[in-house]
Amino acid sequence: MLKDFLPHVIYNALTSKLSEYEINEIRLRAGKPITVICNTKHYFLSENGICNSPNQAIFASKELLIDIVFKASDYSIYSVNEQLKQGFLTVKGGIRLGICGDVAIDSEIKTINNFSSICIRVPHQIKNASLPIFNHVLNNGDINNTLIISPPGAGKTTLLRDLIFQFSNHNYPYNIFIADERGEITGGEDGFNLGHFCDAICFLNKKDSMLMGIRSMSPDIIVTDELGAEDDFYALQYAMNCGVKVVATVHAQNIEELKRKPAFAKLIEDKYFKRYIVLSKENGIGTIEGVYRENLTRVYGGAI
Amino acid sequence: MKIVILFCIVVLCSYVGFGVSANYSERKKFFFDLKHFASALKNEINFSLTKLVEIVTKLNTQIKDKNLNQLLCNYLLYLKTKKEITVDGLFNNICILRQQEKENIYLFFKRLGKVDVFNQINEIENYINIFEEYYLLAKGESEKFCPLYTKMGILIGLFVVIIFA
Repeated sequence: MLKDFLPHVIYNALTSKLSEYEINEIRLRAGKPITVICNTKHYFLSENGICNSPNQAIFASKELLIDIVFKASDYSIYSVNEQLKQGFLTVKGGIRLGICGDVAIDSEIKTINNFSSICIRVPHQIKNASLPIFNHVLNNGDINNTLIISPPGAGKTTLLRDLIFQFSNHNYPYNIFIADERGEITGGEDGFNLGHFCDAICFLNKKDSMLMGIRSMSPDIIVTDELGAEDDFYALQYAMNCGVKVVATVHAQNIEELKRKPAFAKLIEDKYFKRYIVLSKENGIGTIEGVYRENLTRVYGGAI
Repeated sequence: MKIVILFCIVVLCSYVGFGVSANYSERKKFFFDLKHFASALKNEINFSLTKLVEIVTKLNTQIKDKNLNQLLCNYLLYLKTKKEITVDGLFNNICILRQQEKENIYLFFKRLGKVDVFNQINEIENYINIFEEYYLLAKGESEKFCPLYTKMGILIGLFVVIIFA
């Protein structure tokens, strides 16, 4: 998939010592050496593969960044401009390009141009990654509203993806609706195998997506990634009050940090979520720090 | 034997006349279809924001003109291999176009997909106007030169036959 939009020199350098599966992130900054993150370790990218010295590294130019974005859009910038406006671009297989540059504004954001940085995040599908917490989400045939909490890059989307797969794989009689605002969970076109019981709306904001899903697909479970906007909470509460269960993720280091976000403090206080799963990179990406009940007592793993 | 040779001369001259006139007909048909292709492209982009590869592949199956089919196949090759588009590559196996026309059509394809929807639609509309002008010109030339070259071919053939007879 990386081959589709990375120049040959960079792709060959990347894959000379690594497989795509081992790469977590590639960061390109105009005028700076290209860096690669593998299993939380940072490396520079040289023509012979990854290295530790910036002196041997390949440097990214502005032209290179433009070329990558243009190719990643399949030569159709107009088709991804709504994503670009939000600072990202998701390509086949769920690879997400976070983009920085000059924002063109004319009463509203029109686009991003003059790209200065690209962060390419390579998604993974790790089979059975969610098994340690699966019984906490599905408890005696009853699904708990669950919130997965982790800092960026700690594997919450991977966990979420496997959780969806496990529901399908075990033939539970649940219809799962995925509100995939960034196309990362499903992987978009040529995406991930998430089983036979999933429906997804991609690239629509979570509020509209969830409301559409509830009305049109009558789901048993709604799955969504990276809650944060004010509208998300309205849709979340609406879904939970419609008898639909919700499994969602949010960025935070731990529950204490999450409680400092006013909207979440209210959700925690009102006990909307029955389970909180905290992830970290402590022992590698996807480390399960703990699973907590609605009253924040520990069910599994370490202390708060 | 002499009659056969003279008959062949008439056929050959007529064939050349038809060939030259067919060139004008093909140009007219090419620009007519190109104009409609651009219109359909505009609508697809405006309505569904579909990616260029998908739109061009779909429209190419609906187009009957062999020159435009060839042009779109050449363009799709660039889209699929993600290489820089060139004039020679784009017009590979197409010989009915003049240099100025090639340059304008090349710029049309080169500019596709590089801007947002609003600007993309505006650009395509500008090019539709240009293609319309080319079509009218090709239509005028076709009406003027097609019968002329066809008749000339036949007449020259007959003239040669009369001289040699």
